Amino acid sequence: MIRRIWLLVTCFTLVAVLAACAAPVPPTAAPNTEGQPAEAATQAPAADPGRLTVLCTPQEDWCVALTQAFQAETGIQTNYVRLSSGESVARLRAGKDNPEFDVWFGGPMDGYEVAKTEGLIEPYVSPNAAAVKDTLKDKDGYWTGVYVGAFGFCSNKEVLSSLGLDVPDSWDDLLDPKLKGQIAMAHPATSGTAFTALWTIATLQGGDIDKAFEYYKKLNNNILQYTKTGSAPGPMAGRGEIAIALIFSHDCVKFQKEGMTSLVTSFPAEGTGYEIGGVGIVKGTQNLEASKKWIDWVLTGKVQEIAATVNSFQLPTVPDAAVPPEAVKLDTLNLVDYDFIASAAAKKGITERFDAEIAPAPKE
Amino acid sequence: MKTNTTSLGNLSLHSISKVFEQGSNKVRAVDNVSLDIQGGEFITFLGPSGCGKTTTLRLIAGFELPSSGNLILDDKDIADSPPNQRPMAMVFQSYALFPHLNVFENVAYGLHLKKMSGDEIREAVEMVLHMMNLTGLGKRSPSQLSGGQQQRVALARAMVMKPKVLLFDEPLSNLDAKLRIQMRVEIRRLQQRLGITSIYVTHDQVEAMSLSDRIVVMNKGRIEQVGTPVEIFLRPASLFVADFIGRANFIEVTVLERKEDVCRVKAFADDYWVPCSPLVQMGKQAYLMIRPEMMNLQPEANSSAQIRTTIYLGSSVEYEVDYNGDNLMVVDTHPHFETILEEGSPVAVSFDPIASYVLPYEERQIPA
Amino acid sequence: MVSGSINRRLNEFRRIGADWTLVSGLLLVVVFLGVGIVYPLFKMLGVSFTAEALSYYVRYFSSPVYLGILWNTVKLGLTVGLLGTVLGFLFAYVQVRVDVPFKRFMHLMALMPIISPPFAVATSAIVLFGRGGLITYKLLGFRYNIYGFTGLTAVLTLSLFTVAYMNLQGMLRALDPSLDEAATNLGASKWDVFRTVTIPMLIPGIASSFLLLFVEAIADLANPLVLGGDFTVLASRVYIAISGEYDIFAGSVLSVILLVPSLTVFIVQRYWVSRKSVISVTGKPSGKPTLITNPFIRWGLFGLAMFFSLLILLIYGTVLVGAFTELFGINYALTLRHFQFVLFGLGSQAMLDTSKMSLIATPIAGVLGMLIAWLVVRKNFSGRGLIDFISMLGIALPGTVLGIGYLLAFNRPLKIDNTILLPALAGGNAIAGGTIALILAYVVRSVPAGVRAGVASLQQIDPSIEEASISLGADSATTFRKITLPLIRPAFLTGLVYSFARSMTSLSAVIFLSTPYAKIMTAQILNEVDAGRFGNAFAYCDILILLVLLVIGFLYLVVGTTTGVERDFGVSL
Repeated sequence: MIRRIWLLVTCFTLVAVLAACAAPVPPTAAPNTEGQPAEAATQAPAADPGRLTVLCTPQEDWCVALTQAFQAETGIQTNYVRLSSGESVARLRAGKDNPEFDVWFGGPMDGYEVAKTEGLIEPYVSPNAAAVKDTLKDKDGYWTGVYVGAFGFCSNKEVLSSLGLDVPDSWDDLLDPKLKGQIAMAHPATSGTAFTALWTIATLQGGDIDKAFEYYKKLNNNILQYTKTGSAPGPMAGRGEIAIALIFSHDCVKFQKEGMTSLVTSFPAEGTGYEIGGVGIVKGTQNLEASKKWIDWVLTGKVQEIAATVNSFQLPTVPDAAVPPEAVKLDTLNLVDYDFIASAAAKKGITERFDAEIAPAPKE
Repeated sequence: MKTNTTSLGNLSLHSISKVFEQGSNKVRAVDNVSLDIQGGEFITFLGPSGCGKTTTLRLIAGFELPSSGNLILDDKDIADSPPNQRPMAMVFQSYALFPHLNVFENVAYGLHLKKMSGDEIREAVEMVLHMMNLTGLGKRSPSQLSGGQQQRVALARAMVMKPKVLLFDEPLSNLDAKLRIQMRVEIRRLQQRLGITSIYVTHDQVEAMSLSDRIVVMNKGRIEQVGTPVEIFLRPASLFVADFIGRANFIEVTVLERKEDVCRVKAFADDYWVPCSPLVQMGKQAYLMIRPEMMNLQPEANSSAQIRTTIYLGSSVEYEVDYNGDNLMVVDTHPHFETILEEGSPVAVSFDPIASYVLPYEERQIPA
Repeated sequence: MVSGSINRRLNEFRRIGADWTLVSGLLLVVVFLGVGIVYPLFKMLGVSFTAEALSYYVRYFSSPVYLGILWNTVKLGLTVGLLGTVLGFLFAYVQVRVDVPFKRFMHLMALMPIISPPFAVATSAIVLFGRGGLITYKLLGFRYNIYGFTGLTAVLTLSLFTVAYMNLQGMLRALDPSLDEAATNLGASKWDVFRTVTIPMLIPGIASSFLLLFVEAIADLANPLVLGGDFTVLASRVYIAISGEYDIFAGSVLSVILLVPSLTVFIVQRYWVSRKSVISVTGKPSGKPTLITNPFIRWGLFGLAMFFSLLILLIYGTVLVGAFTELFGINYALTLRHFQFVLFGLGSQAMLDTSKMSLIATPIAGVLGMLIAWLVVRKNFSGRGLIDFISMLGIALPGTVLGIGYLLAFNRPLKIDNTILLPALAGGNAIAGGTIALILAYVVRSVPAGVRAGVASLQQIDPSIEEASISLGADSATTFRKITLPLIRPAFLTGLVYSFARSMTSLSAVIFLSTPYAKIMTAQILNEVDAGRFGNAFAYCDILILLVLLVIGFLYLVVGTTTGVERDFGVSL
């Protein structure tokens, strides 16, 4: 009996040791490469192409497809963690002195502007960035746009018809008392999507934050739940749990494609917001060369075309990438004048106020 | 005669005390106990529960640490040495056999720790099992043995270690009456054969009497008396001892006269010369202790004493006698048809002074 | 007297010092508790009482919204505590006192939630009973809103009632049937016996079940995140504060606010209610209890218990089927792609990382649990009660509180004058990719169950058995190894089983600690559920349950038979 216990302990120890050996070993702490000439890194032996950890904000399957393709093409061992935009900024902030990520990919530009102001990302102007329109990238090179998407309403037409409502085409349609508990959006603290919605509304109120909050307050009465991830309300609508999800339109199309056939996309006539999904290098990365390689790589046409293969139908930002037919036609939409520099500056205040006044508030 | 190869086993306790703290409460479980034990001696600690006898034993074994005092084994102070390094072995009340090991493994356990070779161990274990009438039971697990057999395994396990001191913590209290007597004899026989110093704890005075060279009577953490069974029984040092060992009648008397070790006292309307304690003084109050077996009853029509109850026990008859309002306990150890007295019959009371004792007066605090 | 007391202490230290096992064992335990619990807790408390944090208290306690959240938390705890205890009592009573078929099945269903990840019930409930739910909408045709207080309460009750069930079942079994017989003999009817004997005897058990459920319910993070709707509780606020804003002040202050009711209730349970117990759970029953024979009561109780058993079966059935379904609720085509993702896709990293870390944590927690139990029950030293208490904090502290403590304590190296005392243990750049902090968190969360099982087991073993070994010349280490450990084998096994299950399924304590190199399966499930990829979530749940069952099976095989263990299994505190 004693022997059996020792056999067990031995077994466990063995498994544990094996597991520990097999566990990925992160880069050993090296002196901070900040300010070090880029050439130093290139002198690394060619046999070891290095490694890369991507902080990835779009849909998870896109993250998978991209990192796998990048690793296959470059030999750089590539890993990712998917976090929503707000969470990403929080995570970068937490690891500011000792970053665990090398690049940040995807998510609205407001987040990148916040990261830029807080010194969480560092500038890199990729040679490929020249092909990207000036309006789609940071003038100082901190971030570059990799996709564009428009904000929209993602409705379940069956639920809407059972409520006796039409597909919404105005922000005011969302305030219909019949929609009580029938709308979902993400929480702006964690999600960039949700913040895009808030800022769009604020812009439509002429930038009057107080008036915007009056709207949020009314909207809050119809909200069922604030989710963690921006696109999460989509499947809720798809399963018929709510009537309308406030998400990016390309996510809605994705869910439609993937079987949630009751979904229908619409846009508010007063004007809608949009996002420029960015990419940028995390300040203080240990893998600067690999990070630059990643940015050059995602700014190529064939890479931007990968998105459509995993049903992510955002608009590409480089001209040689084919525009998927499912992608939104921006010129048919009434887009608000989305000032992402102002939005980034106001982000903390709006989020905190929303978090304190709106999200936890009881419904009327 | 002695087969053990180890040396003497002289054990001395010097002013040993043990204080337990329970929150702010302090309990003196052992209070300034001093005692010299000779090598090969069989000593019994006797007393009511909570008197400190078990604690004293555990102090000797090393399971408890004395709050003060010294413990000398063959000229070496062992008060600080851990229990596993003391040349002692203990037999527990609950036997404490290792339930996951068989009989052989139980007995061999301590020998393995001594790093003895397999052959040596086998030989030693077989021998002790044989000695304890356990031959052939080596493969059994403890749960397959009777109570008596388990007790013998526990004894064998301690004995095989050839300790300098054997410690017994009420080892027979879980056995039925007959087995207890049988084991008592066996323990005494073995101890005498091996000549190992033995310290035995019990609350059973018969057990103590039958086993011990000397008995240590303890009460409230202190030693009341140390002596041979005969001394303890016939010459108790205190009311407590007199009452705890056997039964006794106590009669308040005045010492009329004292000549060396005997005193004259008046009891049952007569004067008697009775052995008396050195502390008894002439003219002072004292207690006359009379064992019920040492009292005699004679039918006497005019006597004011009369039998209150008669209990026939076969080998003896116990009487409760009303003597001027006091209760006396009398035992007739040779009852016949003709001599058994009926309840209510008047009797004359007398006693055997040589087997009685006069104790100094003290506030009576005798357990009922 | 003073010098006597000092002398006694000196003696004690001298004695402890002479016993190197005790010294090293004690040292190990003290270091473990110090690093794993005390230091992070103080770090968190330190932050929550800085001047900057104090303004948060003012803000929270003057805001009706936050007072509402506090009330929500308490309300949730009270309701789940009450309902969970009632449900646990129903199952326990049917199991012990009612003569009905399928008891074994009901027993297994009641145990199911222990080995399942925190999202299984919630996700299943959404697709079965939500607005578009298979049962509520597709079958019964109404749109039930499962998000919010009622849905959350129902799901939490079903997920947590096992604690009450195990607790009360043990007590009911230990209840001496001769008491019932005595009462009946004195003229009491069955109902009188139930009312005047059974219930009063069980009151300490009922109270302690209620309090334990309260603590678990208010600490739960997973379900409020998925099912909360507009019903916000403290735990999910803590999560938003850290994950969404990395506001450590808000996180710490909210944690302290959450800590107060948890710790109070825990202390009441542990040091007051459990002392009132009049039943020794370990006692052998002295006869067979009389079973309920009245057909109405018998079949009524059976019907109720069966209803809930089938509900649990349905929920876990959905978890199983959902993993093979293309899009549960919309498209029921069979697919293996979810398993493909979890087992071979990039989702497999979370599964492998979590399994590895749990496998490392399990034996450490098992041995530490037994060691602490042994020190607490058998060894006499000052501070014994404190060690017992601190080790229990591992489970009494809400997971998010522990998580924030770890984040604050281990994200940076502990330095004094530029000398690194402790390197960074958490975060992607910590040594071993942050796995050490995660493993430590797993061990800390698992140890209490092992300690409880070990203490219960040791208290049944006559201490003189160990003294006999010492008296025969064995030192403490040999005695622990050769005598104690084999004798408390069932408790050791319980500790191992529980700690593996606990590690694999824990979320709240580790969600802030996951790194790119150490991904956590439950956090991944949260992502899948949140993003609406229920198929992947179900597949993760299935794999997780399967892994836990496999390891439990392996443990039974190696450590021992099912005797006794099955009874112990699930004894949580």
